[in-house]
Amino acid sequence: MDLRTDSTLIASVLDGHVDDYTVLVRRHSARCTRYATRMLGSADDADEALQSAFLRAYRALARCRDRERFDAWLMRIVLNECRTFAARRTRRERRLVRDELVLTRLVAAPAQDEAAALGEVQCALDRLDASLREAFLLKHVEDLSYEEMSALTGVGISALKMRVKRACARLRELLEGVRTTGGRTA
Amino acid sequence: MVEQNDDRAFVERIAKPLRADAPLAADFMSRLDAAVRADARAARRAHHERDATPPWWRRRVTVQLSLSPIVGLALAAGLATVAVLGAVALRAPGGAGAAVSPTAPPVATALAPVRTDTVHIVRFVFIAPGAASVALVGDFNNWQRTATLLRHTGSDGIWTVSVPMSRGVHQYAFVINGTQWVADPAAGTTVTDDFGTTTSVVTVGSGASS
Repeated sequence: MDLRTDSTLIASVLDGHVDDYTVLVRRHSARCTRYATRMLGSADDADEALQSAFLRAYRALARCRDRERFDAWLMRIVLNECRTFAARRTRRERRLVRDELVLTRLVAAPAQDEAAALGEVQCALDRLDASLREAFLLKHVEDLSYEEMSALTGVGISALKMRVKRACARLRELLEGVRTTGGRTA
Repeated sequence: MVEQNDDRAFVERIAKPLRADAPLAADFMSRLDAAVRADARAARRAHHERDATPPWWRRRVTVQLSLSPIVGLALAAGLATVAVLGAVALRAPGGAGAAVSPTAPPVATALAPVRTDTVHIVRFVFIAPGAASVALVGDFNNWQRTATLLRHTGSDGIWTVSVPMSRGVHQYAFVINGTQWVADPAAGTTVTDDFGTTTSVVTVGSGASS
């Protein structure tokens, strides 16, 4: 285990020791990966967005203002990359077809195990507007405070609270609506 | 209350599976490492190419040093091809000090037609009483904190440095004591980049496209 601080690793990378960059990224990759995967709803898309985000972060490393808060800085880059990626994604139709299939399957068979539960929730999450999905994930999955969310996203606290509330309501509508229908069908 | 608990239980139920780790592909880090190395090689090549170019003082350049627009005008009257040194006035962080040159806008203004080979000397002034060091970082020095250190003038915590800059729009900031990043509070334009970092903007040379 590398005990050097983030600040030391950044200085080392900027000094030409590029090996240390992957040490730095590996240290903070879990949260970034989880967020990108849930936000984009696809491991392949997340992979692509994260490669791009981490390379951008490498190129901008000298501009990391507070090196002891590298994790927050990196997360912000990942968040922006996911926004860009989601906006330009042209596979929406294919995703909707897939979602319809999953939802149909859920009507017949509600989630029984963890993987199925994740698939079910992810399917509903994919149907939210990107801004609602982003707010929900940061609040309830990454467990950030509204102040932290605001600093990360550049969105005001009251707007974020509204987005989280609307996301929860929509998810409930999607998930419980599916289950109710499934119950009646069964 | 029942409804609130119900909401909380619902959120917890759907957030729980989403909190599970999402693994990266097995080769993710090796691909990233390869991309970073390729990028570093490209940057080194570009750096060597820059080094191969004669420094500005060995090229045919015109440089003007002046300290105020009035002096610049006087010099411009005698020297047709000179450009003006722009003085960027800065306040001490936290408003602890006054602007060194409040009348000078944070823009390096050219008083005479600018030639493409003109090097502009821009003087940066920063007031930071009690600072141990002040560095200037910007796109012109690849944001390196050790590349351009300001010199303490010995009075009132005034730090200065003069930097040869090419014509155009440049972003910059100051780093106090190697850690505290400060955008120029007196700058006319500041920008916050994708990475959440706020920097100031200086326009060097008249008609530089922004």
